[in-house]
Amino acid sequence: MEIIVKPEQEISSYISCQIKNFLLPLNNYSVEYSKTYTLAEIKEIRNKYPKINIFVSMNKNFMNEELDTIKQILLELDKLNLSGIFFYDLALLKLKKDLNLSIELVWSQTHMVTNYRTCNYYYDMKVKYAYLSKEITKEEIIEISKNSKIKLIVELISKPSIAFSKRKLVSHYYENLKLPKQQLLSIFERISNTNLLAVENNDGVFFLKNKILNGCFILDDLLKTNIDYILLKEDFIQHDMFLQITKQINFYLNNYTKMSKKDKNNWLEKQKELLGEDTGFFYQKTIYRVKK
Amino acid sequence: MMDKVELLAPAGDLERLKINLLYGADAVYFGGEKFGMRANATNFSKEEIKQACNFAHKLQKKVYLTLNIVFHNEEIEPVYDYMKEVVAFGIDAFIVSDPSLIPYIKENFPQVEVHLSTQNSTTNYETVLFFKDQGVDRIVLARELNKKQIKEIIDKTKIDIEVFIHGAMCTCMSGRCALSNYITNRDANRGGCSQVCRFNFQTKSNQDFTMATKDLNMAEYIKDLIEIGVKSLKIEGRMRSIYYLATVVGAYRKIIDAYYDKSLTDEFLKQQKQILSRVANRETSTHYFNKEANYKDQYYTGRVEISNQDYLGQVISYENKLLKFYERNYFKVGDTVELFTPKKESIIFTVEKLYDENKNKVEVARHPDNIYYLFLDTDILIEEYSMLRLIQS
Repeated sequence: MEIIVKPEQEISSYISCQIKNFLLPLNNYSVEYSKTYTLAEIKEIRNKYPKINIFVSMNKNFMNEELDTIKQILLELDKLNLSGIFFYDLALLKLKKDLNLSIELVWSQTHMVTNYRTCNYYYDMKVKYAYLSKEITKEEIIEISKNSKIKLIVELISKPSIAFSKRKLVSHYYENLKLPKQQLLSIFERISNTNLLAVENNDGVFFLKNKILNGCFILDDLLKTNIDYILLKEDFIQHDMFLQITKQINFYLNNYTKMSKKDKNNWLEKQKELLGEDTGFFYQKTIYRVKK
Repeated sequence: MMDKVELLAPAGDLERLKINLLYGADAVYFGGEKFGMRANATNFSKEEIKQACNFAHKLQKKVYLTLNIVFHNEEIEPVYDYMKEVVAFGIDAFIVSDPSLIPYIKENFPQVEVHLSTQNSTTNYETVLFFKDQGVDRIVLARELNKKQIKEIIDKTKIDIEVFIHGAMCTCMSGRCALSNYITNRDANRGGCSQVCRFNFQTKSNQDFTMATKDLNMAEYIKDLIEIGVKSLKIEGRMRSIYYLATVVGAYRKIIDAYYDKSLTDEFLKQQKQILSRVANRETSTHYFNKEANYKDQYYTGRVEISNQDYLGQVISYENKLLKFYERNYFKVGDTVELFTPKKESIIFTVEKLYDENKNKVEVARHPDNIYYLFLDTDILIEEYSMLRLIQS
């Protein structure tokens, strides 16, 4: 199992934590990330750090008028020896074929990557990786792993992104109050006691749960299941804390075979103190039928 | 002769399906007991699906079954058996969002069309071409597109395109929202959406954050949609009342027919828009069709839904100048009401004489679900599912 980091700061700070896989969201063509990178910046990082593995996210729903530019960008990205492109829009599958690109693809449809049969469909379409939805349980992840050949990426640490709207909802809020526009708004849902962050950019607004998802509790099970990658997303997590948890997880991956049960429990307790106990949907099934 | 655009309406149950088809829908869509995006609607049992297909096909109309949830492991295998069973009833199309179902349907049920759900938020012609290559017969486009974008997709793909024309709008992009999962533990993408986008959220100021959208109403642009080549016009609202459906389907039927008859005048359109506005329980907008959705397309005061009292009754029969009906909302002698029928007949009159179930004369009809009679002298053909609505009290 390897770690992929979606960074917020200088790449060097993560490399010093022995991280070698990075997810860099492409500016204007990725959504639901706080920091994005221009093509020039990605090229610069590629040149500066030739040994790291770079995944690029282009997880936006593309519009007609963007397609010509996207084709040019894909041709450029194909030359950068990248590990893969995270995609949401299935146009990417067609464009890869049309443009004869060699770059690998990562099925990254946020809330839709939820079963092994569809993973197998994408595998048959020559998609190498699937970035699993955060809204499935640990058991479902394990079942997908057992029944699919596609390489799996599990988001383990993040402030989870939970929705995206093309509407400029934060601007609208301030416009209604006749206040200067801002791009970030902290909101709170009373009944469920849930804090969210609404983050606006040129593409619209995305909502993050303002509480860290702590997947350390399932790390052992993921290792036993041979999950290929875990993703640590730094968005809106304090940098020092993020580096600390990155080091901790890296330590665990390198040493878990030698650790006693007590050591593992102590390690988990430490992560609990650092990140809290929000395990998202790893142990909680969602319901969808409220009456018979 | 130019093919007429399809008017597609939502059916929450068998009665709504009949109302839609009788009032002028060319096709209906609905969910079965599993695998549809409205898990908490009444939905159709297998027997009801069979009845729905029979009813629609007798009228030369079509039925589309939604299988558009985002499947988890536990649902993905059973859906294959389910498809086999319902295909035998005569389903004309499956509406799917999971592309893994497409090759299976095309291979095993070549007589059944595959329609790609709006859950996929298809926004460009390359994606449409991808799905066309996969064998999809029709794409339901994302609701975030403007006229130019829709036209370009149609021009460059030559595949049947369906767009929403009326009803509630999601605030977020379809398929890209799990607010319901995180706030209420109800799975938005498996039919359990609890409409969290209509909740109020507290902020650090004393003004709540809201994001509830106004409804969609494209009555004014039906002509444009037909002329750019859209094949199907879709109404949202499987959980709406029969009165709402009869009114909305009836109004759009008239607009479409008037377009093809070359009788679509501004005055006629204005009348139909007025009829639509009277059943609306929210304000409406065209959202993305002419511009980016903006500040004016949403609410800032939380959930805003106006209760509508116009629906007075559903007609049971008409004999000896007495109209027998189930009362739905209070009205009285002296009120001006409209009787309208599935065949687009309509008569506006003043209520002169009103009787209770035992034909005792009364001044007001005040008990919903009770049977009443009113005196009416008319030659129009009054069929089953004709309705009464209030014009002026």
